[in-house]
Amino acid sequence: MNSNKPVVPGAVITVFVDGQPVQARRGQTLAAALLALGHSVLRRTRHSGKPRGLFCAMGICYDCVVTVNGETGVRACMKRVEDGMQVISPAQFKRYEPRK
Amino acid sequence: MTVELDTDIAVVGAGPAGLAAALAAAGAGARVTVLDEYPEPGGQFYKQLSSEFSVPERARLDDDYTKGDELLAAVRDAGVTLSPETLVWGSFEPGTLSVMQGHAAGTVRARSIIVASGAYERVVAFPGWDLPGVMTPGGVQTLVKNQQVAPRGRIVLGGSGPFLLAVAKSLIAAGAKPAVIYEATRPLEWLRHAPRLWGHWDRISEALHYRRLIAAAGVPVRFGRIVVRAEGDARLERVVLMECDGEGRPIPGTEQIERVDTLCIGYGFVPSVQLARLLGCTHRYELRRGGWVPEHNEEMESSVPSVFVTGEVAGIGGAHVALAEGRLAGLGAARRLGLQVADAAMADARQERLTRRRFGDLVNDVFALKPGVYDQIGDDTLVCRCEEVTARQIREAATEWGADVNFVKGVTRCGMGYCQGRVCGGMVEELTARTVGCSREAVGAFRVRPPLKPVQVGSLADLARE
Amino acid sequence: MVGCAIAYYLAKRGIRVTVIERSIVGSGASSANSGAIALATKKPGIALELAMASQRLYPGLTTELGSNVDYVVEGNLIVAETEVEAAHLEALVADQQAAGVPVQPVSAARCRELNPLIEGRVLGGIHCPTDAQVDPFKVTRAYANAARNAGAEILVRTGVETIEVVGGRVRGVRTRRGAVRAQWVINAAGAHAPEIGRMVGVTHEVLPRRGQIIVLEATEGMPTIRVSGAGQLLAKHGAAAAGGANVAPSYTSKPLNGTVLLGSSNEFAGYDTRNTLPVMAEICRRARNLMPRLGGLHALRCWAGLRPYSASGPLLGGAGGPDGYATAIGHGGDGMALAPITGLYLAEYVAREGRNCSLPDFLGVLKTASPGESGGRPT
Repeated sequence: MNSNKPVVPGAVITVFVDGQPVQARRGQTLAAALLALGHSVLRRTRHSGKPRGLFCAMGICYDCVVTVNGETGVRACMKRVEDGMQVISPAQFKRYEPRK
Repeated sequence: MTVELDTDIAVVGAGPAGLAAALAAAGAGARVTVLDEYPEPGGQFYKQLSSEFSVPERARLDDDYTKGDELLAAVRDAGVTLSPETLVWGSFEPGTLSVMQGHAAGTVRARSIIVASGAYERVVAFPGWDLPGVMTPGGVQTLVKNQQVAPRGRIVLGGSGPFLLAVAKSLIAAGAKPAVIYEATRPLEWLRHAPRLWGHWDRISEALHYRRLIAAAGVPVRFGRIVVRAEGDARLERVVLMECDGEGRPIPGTEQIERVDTLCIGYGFVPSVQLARLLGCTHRYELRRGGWVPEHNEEMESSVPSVFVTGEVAGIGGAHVALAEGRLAGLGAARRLGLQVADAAMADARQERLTRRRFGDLVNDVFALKPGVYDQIGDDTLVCRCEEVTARQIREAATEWGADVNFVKGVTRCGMGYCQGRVCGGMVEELTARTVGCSREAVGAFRVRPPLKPVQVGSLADLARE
Repeated sequence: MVGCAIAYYLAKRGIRVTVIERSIVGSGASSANSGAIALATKKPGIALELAMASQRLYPGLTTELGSNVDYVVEGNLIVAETEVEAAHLEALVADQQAAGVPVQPVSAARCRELNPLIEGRVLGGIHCPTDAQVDPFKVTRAYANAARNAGAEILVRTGVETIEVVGGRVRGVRTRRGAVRAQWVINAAGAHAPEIGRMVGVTHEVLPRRGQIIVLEATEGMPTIRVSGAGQLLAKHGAAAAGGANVAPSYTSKPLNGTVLLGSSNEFAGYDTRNTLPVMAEICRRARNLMPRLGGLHALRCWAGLRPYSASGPLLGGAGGPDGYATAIGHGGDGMALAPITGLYLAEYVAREGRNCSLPDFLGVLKTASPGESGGRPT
């Protein structure tokens, strides 16, 4: 990152987003790390499958929830990146079909 | 793993109000613990950088950091215990708070509780507000200042209020200059409030400083325009703006399309009252101060004995109000415990609070939410983002039985998702009230139940006695 | 809910009816339950008979009322976690089968197969594939709207203050907003039934029994079959100690929106509808013991409802007191399951002026009617 800036983020680490390795910096939130990489879509809504991204970025709206290391409902804006972290971006739910 | 803690005063929220309260109470001799959900103390205003980040030259940082540093240093010197990453998610007995640290649940017992839970942004829905790329100004501020990440592409600010200028300033400093700021109000409308500016010189000079900085950077501010629609395929590509009349209603024929990658939009703030409501504090609806606010006496004690409310949660007013009111609440809570607090200190804190509140109210009045802004919520507009509920569903349910937001919630599932109605609650109340033509008081507010924010089943299970 | 169902079936017969609701539609226990329409949880007797009759009405309810009630048939599994529970289930299933309930004893392995979330110790269980669930709020609202469309009046935020009795017969009620004249007054006040009974000098042995429920985040692919621990039945069937919260695990998946409801508790705590920490924690502990993977999901919110507990089961129809006073109370935790049949019966009871319509006779006649006639006059 730009060394001219007054703040230098932490060391470079790798997190995996839907299996793809991406680089992040220690101390960053997952949301910030992903936005820096241009990932604006963090999940799809469960009913209509619409794309959602970072909205409030302060832990209020829960629109940025992803699955981290198997834990569902994790706010990307609150979660600090860790080396090797596995992030899954939630997809639209399969529609329920009543059995006959 | 479970957490147990005993203290004289538990302060919930480590923003300006909470820290000022903690400092004042500790100064009077109380044992104080500040509980805050975030990893670093400071709240949204004095939010600290991650300890993983390095700062070669602290002096080059913004004022907010230095002021925050000073306040935090004073708080630590006073012997206050700071408990970060501690979510307060419930309260089941008077004087107790249920907390969560990571996945460890526990209980904090306190003789007094000071609720300094702050505020969050009010966003009024419009078609496309759920597209990635639409963000709240506070969210962008956090990214830029705290995370050192600037949103990409062409940035436009919209909505209303002085906070838009603060965000613009941060973006400029980060080299991500916004293209334009659209402010819903007009300077002409401000004039009638001008006499009330007398005496608030420090705040005026601050505002002028922001204004100059933004002008110098060449960021135009255009007044009397609101975003009525956002469009894009998988993410935001453009917004449609319209001029609005004095009531905030869009004027037909004034549509203007703007190419945008990141839209920061907010219409001021709403007090974060969930905990105060859970604790049983009586609330009243006060639009000027952001909506539902807890009632309190002149020492900031709420209707529930030994529960104090302070700062933004007690009514939107800004960081200066929070600092002054925090001190008052801290002194009040200490006095409530039987500690010695000089009458002069108490009187001074009360006076300081009133002065700051006067200016806060002035700003609130200047940038008052215009009722017409809600007109942009068409029937097909999404209102509850979590459960994907549209305005039509809400309006239909509102007319069915007795115009009660909890009925509307039961029928439509609005407010039942992860955020528990924090984002849509105010809109559901407003739409319900408008649909049937009654007051916000009459339609009520979503019931608040624990957990205040989601907590894991396993963590709750750990609290069971086998 | 019960009140709205009665109003609907009365209005459908052309009888003028007014529902007087202290709060709003569905504000009581009707919106604070898991929506189970179950037979497997009932022991033979009038409650089971009623439930069987009600279950025949539910599949057609969305069409009948013109509004979706989210009726879903995913079956019900009750598991034994202890020897005592296993013995209880063994006796119960035999009785239920004799009464015509399509319920089967199943092995522990079969339990895990039916709901793969079950990884904790179970000794076996009973399975009723026809058991169903609804969205309780939607059912209540559907009945309210259908009743209104059929001509009933529903007064919300209107409490009953007194019941007027002249010459041994009710003449109407007085409310906060004025008088309502009526030939009949039907008490459908749920846990608050005794309060109404006292207005006509009748004591109803109905107690508020609190049940707490925790709602989990929506998760894709959750098993849809309902699961509960037999401990819940021990409490319900009076075989467990009456004190305490009687927490037993219960898992209700809501496949239409992806959430899961965890229960259950049964405790006498007056009219307090708050949730309590020990019970919430115990519900979670029991759920995690039975279904460890639930431990990783988030609880989003919780609520508590007051079930109108009656030791002798539902009290439907005549209840002593003046002529024209009837009750539809004491449904315990089965208000949701029994509301349609309760409504149908009370409408019949009122239409016949309370004469020649004992509940067993009514149910007997219903059984022989075709299912398409739900809601119609059964004779």
